[in-house]
Amino acid sequence: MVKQLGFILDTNRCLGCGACIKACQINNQLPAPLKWRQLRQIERAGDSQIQRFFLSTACNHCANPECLRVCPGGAYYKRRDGIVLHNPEKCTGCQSCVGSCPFNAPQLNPFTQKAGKCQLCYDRLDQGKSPHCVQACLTGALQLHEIRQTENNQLLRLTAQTPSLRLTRPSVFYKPPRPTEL
Amino acid sequence: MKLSRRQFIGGTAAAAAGAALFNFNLLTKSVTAADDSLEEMKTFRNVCPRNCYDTCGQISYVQNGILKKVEGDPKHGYTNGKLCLKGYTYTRRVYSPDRVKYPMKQTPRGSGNWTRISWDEAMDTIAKKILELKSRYGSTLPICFNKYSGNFGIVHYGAEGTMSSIGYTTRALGTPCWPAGIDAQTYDFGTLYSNDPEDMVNAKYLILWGQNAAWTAIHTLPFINKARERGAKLVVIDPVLTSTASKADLYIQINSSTDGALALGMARYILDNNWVDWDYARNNSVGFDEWVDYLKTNITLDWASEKTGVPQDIIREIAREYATTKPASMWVGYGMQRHINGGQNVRIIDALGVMTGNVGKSGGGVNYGHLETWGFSYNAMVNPAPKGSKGFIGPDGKEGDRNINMNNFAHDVMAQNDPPVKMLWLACRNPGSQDPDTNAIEKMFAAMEFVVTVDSFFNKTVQMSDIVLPATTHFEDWDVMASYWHYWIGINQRAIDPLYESKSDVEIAMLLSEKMNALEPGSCTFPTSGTPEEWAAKEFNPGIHSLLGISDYRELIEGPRKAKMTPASWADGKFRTPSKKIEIHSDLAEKNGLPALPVWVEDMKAPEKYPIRLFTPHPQHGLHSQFQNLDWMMTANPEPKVEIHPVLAAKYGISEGDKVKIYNDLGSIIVKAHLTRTTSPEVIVSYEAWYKDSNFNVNYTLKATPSDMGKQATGNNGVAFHDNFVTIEKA
Repeated sequence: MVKQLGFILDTNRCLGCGACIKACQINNQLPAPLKWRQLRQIERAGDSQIQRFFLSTACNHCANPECLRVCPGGAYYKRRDGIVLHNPEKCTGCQSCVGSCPFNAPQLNPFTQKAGKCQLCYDRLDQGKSPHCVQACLTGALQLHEIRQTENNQLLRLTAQTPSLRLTRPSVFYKPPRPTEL
Repeated sequence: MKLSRRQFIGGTAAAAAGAALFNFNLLTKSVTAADDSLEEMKTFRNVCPRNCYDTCGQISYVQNGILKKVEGDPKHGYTNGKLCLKGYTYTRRVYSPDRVKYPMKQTPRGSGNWTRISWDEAMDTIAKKILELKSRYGSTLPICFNKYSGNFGIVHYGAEGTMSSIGYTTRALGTPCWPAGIDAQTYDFGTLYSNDPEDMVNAKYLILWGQNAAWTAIHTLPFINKARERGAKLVVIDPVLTSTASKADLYIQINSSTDGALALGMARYILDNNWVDWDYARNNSVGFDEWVDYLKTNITLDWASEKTGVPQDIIREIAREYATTKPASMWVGYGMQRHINGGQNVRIIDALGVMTGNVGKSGGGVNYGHLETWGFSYNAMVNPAPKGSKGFIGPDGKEGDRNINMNNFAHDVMAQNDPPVKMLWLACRNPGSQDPDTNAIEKMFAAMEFVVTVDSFFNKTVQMSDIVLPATTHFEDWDVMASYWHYWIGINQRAIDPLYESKSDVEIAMLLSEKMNALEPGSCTFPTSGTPEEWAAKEFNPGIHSLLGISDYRELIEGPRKAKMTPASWADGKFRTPSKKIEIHSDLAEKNGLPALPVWVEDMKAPEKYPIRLFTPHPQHGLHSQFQNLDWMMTANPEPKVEIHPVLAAKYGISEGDKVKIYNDLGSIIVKAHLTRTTSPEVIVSYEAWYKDSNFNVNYTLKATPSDMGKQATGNNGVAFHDNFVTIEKA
């Protein structure tokens, strides 16, 4: 593997506005209830401090993708830039990937009865453009980087250290949130 | 056949796109999926016409007459090629299966028994009813019109024009949104006039006062962030730790409705330390020293801290920083003026800005909003009453429309008896969902003989109507839009043909005029010809041309234009008050029964029976009753919630996810609890919205209590939406 592209989210800039999700939906023409990007609001409150921040997450384009490993039809493919691609033509709709991804990235499309997930707008990247979600981000909180060459002492993974996480090695990092004093 | 990787990817995309597009094509029926490749993608310029600070420039992508997607217009210098989440859902709105597609009648009203009728039958029924009421009462005053901000496109003032053209009618006058703050700035400066929001990059210190820009004006955040990158500090003052507040350098959780007390405390500390810009204040205002005397005799930091719940050291910190870090910008949100002392609190904040010399400065200002770019012709709005029309004789002896209070609509409609109101016409407005005291609204609608609503969805107001007329979306119409925040103006092109049988307000007016004049010649003065583009063109005039530096509206098709104004409002020091100076002492305010000076006015106290304040702020996934009903929004935010502080929740035995009954003497709602420390134990929060297939409506408990100001500039005082007191129990 030459490169590994991945999302970096600055939680101090992400307003949880959801524009990334809707831009993904409209450009990929996803019918409800499908969305390839999710938003979570996190609140960690103490007596004098509160952390309120948002996590915008999509497929993590893992270094060792579990979806790729379990897919019996060979519908998954990992590009040399690290993007994990799903090919609906080879997808039988068996949902092995839907069940095995620790991040619930692949979802079954109820209309086509096939899985689908964030393809990292590979066609746009190939034209030198940003993915739609990154393009839509108003504050620059969501960015796409070559993960291996990024200084990551200021970054952290906010997901729990589950065994599956260590196995799949998701290509996503977050800048840690600042708390608000109450 | 062996595919190269490139082909494999291309094939994947085509398959995915084809599958997803099927829905759209099925709905429009004009083409089949196979035709997709036949026509090149066309783009059009649009402007989001909602009641929103940002009024975004949009590019619509149309292929084979189908709106494929909507993106931000990169030529718009404020919205900068980006949209909010609502903007990206427009395809779901335009092609929503829930849209009102044809004129329909409901028999009986409220039954849900809708039948499709032709435009001719709809117009015939409406015209006959108007003429019958006119002959029964000798005037068209029994017809009451209510329109506000569902679509702020200038051509939509043709809805008002419809009424003018049939005679003198009863009109809902006022604005529920921001009138108290408008009056405050009218008393102080002569009108509301904010700095260019793009100028916020020049601020060295920023206070967002009751402003949740992350949800309601997100395009300003990049400018604020730029200021912060240059070292500016961002302070957010809000009773609720909003999304915006959570990103601030300093968040101040203030007791609701006490913003004026905080500003007075700051002012006192600034005075004591002599950080006052005496030159600016004395040269540009009247009554400043009188107010200084008031501060010295009446205000202490102890009092301010006690009142606001803000520790004294924090008041000192922000007072010092605000007064000594220049330029410093303040942005006053509309939520903080929705109180019985809201306008007065804005006047006090204005005075704080004047005291520190931050008014009239780039990077400064007490920014609330402006109407400087709204000098259109209002051609569609202005029509003479038909000959022989009888009007209402106002207190000034002049004959005209009978104005009633939009902010006490149910009560005022019922209170009319000479003649009574018998028919309602609603456009760009959903009082069934948005007005205070929903029970009273429902009762009032039930008492009407006839109700016509122009809308795109079967919302609460439509559910209480006899006839609904299908409204076009802005992609199906020509129009022009300005913002009350940024300085840009954009043209809105017709990107797609109107779907089904939808029509714009002006097209409806033309049809009605034809019908009325056929039934009774001379009964309606609305023109019966004009294409949508011609109607939009007529809104332009030399004033707008010179403001934008254009000579023809078509130049806007190349891109929106920014008004040629200075980045700082009031930079020339020419205030529009009677004295031509900032009126810290306002005789006009005094004449209207208000304090002449920006002094403290008490906030509303919670009654013993209903000790909890219910906040119903603007939602994230919609704008009032628009957007939340769309499928993408229902997926993102499937049900309403009430946010309760864990301490308060424990007191009432409420846990996360419990159904909670919120009630007072007026009514009740039941909603799911979410426990959070983002609000205080005194305030519960439930966001106003209209959800699909749900009766949820926050306004059942809301009394139509007027705010302190609004009458001077907008005709009626506002609504104290945030002075709503309730109690809760586990449902």
